[in-house]
Amino acid sequence: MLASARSRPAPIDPVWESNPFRPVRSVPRWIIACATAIAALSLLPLLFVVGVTLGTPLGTIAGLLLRGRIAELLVNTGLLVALAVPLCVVVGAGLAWVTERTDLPGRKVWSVLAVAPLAIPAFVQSYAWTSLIPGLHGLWAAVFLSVIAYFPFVFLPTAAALRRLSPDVEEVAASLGLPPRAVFMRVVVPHLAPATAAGGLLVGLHLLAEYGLYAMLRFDTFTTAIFDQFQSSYNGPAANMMASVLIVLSLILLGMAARIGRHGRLARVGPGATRAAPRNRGKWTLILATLLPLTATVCALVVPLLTVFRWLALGDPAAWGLWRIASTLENTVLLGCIGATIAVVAALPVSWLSARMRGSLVRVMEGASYTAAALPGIVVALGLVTISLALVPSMYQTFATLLLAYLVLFLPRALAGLRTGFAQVPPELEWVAASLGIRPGTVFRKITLRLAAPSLAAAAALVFLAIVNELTATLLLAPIGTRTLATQFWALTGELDYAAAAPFAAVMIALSLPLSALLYWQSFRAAGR
Amino acid sequence: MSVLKLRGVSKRFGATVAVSDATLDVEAGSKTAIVGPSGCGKTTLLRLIGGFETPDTGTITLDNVTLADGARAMPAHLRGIGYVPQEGALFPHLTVNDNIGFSLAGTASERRRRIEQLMGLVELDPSLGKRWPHEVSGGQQQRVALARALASRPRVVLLDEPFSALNAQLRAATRAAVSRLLGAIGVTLILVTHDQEEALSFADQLVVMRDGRLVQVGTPVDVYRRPTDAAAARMLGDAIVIDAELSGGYAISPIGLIPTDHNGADGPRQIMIRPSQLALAGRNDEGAIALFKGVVVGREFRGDFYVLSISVASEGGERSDTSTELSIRCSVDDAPMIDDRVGISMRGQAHVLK
Repeated sequence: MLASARSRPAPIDPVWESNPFRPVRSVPRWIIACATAIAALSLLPLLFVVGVTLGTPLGTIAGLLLRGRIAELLVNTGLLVALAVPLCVVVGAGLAWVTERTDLPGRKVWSVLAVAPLAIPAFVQSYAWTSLIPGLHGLWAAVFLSVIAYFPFVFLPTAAALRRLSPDVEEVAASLGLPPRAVFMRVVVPHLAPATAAGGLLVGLHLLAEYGLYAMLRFDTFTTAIFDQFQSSYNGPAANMMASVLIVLSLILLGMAARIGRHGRLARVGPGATRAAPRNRGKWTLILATLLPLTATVCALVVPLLTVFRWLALGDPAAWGLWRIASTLENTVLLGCIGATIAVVAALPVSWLSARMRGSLVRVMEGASYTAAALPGIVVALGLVTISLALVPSMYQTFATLLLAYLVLFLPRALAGLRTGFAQVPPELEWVAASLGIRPGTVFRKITLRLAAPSLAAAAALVFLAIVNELTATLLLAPIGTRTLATQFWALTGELDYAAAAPFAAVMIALSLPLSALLYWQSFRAAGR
Repeated sequence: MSVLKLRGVSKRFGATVAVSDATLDVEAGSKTAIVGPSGCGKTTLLRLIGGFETPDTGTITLDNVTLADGARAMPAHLRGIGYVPQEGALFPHLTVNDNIGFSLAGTASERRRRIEQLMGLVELDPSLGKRWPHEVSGGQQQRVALARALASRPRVVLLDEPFSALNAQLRAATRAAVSRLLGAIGVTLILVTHDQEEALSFADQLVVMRDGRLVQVGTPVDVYRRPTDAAAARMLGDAIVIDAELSGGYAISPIGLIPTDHNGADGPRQIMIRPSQLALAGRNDEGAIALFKGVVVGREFRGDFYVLSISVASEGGERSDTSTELSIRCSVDDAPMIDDRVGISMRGQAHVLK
């Protein structure tokens, strides 16, 4: 009746008259299949290490585990984590508070300087300090270097959380009659705790995985022991057994981190937070507040940079072999680019699913990738060596194996970045495009991928820089004769040719500086600066 | 002629029933408004029609072509149903021109001509074409989104609270413009909103939705005057709901005898009166049907008028403490004071709720 009073509806485009009619799934099956395959691939090295362990006779297992060497390694590794992680938390969280909540002059500069040590690989830190103080070794040296190499992992999330904490909340607490100390303990600390604890556990995982730093100090941890064992004898069961212990230690830390991630997420209530005005905390606080960032910067930044420059100055530019530096740089950049591309492409299906789909399948797939990547590089490398020697010996020490290791180790960095990128593309845009008659593939290319492109690029850059600084897996898996900046640097310091090693350290630091800038920018962008 | 038909459409997400057994006919070229509180399933219903979700059961047909039959469904990009989501959802990486021309094929000059034509249709200045979405105002963004949806010549356009992001003044103006422009080209429109004024003023057909069910379907006047229940009545505006005993078409209520639109069985029922049916007695009594006496107990200034709360004592006096409160509007010039005794007249009939 109504229609008769109106003009005829607009003509219909022919594309809709073909009327294909088929079952529709919100998510195509082949995407789920790809994502599942990639997640399974991530777990492969872990499964092989555990598999070899389980295939070993019980008597051999007991013989390998119940000996003084394992006890010594457990004590070393345990003490290291137990001492270095709390110290990292104190230094990192202290720096965050100083740079965000006091009127310390030059807070912004100190904040940037607190992140800058991320650009210096841990094994370059220990190179710098051991060449400055040749007698440096043992537990306390290891703890000291661990703290200066890894405190930014606590600083960054804590500072970002402090910036997110609206001063309104603190003011309300004060208006309810709480004195400043109680406000800090009952409002500020609970807000920071999840971020700080997650940072601390990340440091713990890094300490378990670190090889170069401790090898140079001749301080034995599980990782260095596995490496030595592998290099000396290719002794499968012994190395595998130690790797299994290391896996258990890593999974304990990962489980704690997952608990924090699940229960500790603090939602921001209400619209955007205003930034807290920095407050004058009195003369003595100010002196302490100056000493902390000053000391941290001198230890973590000034000393290593000066040492590298000193060796550069002492060295003979003619003896560096500029051609060798250039070809190593070329190798490294090539590996980094290919590895980053593979990681980002592999991350596409899983990250798209996790941004668009809820459910246990996606959680399991993400969990698999994160678990695999939380394992030390040595375990991943060992697993891949075991697989290639057992199944496809021709794969051993090829680029393919090396790139696979990079994929397993760095996939989560790509995943996290891409998921954020996809989550920022409102699904309404995809629906609108579909309602305009555009095919799903074209919608993905022209809308989703295009809008997520900045996150894609950032994720690729993070993976690239991680590959540039990777030492352990590259040492074990790289084809003979192929050197990256990190392994070339390592070979030269092994020969105690510190002057020849310096240019490689300098190039790594120069390449890594953008990484620190990117991390800084990402953390604080989320905090809405 | 009915163009879009929904038959027994249901959709649940886990344990939550989003849409339950929805049956609806939408006529070609008409404007349908779906109104309901947030979370009632109205957006899900719209997305089922658009093809962004598939129903668990039920069928959706458009011009006798099946769009969905249970989980078997035609993909969204083949349906020819336009979609304008909240706040327009313009593609942020494309200019206004490229947004409108997103679905257009053909040579550059053909595209340009069609984009200009569409911009003219939604009354947008062609000079805006080179701007980015964030560089045009909220109202302009809505028009761009509409032009973009119309570019692919859809048979039906879905509007999901398209005006909610605009301020009150702009909202009314944009709504009127959209209604006029789309009415002129005869596109079938389905609008989802939680704003009763928007629903009443926009639609030819009004659908009231609650807890996933289509509670009532009818013309806006009919649904406003004769809602099925108290909740539907309050969703569309202020309503006075009173318990009463029906007898011979009249309601015997605590405040007196009230004529109703009911001619069915007698018995205890709820009746509904719109405050606009009530006025202070002695001021404009012509046509008034019932008279109540009461005391002013509240007086709220609203600018153009006062809202008075008037306590009407129960008749008969066997329970003098029971009273019913009626709220009515009165002009600013001669508003009575608190505790003044006033008479109230009523126009029309009370509606008996189910």
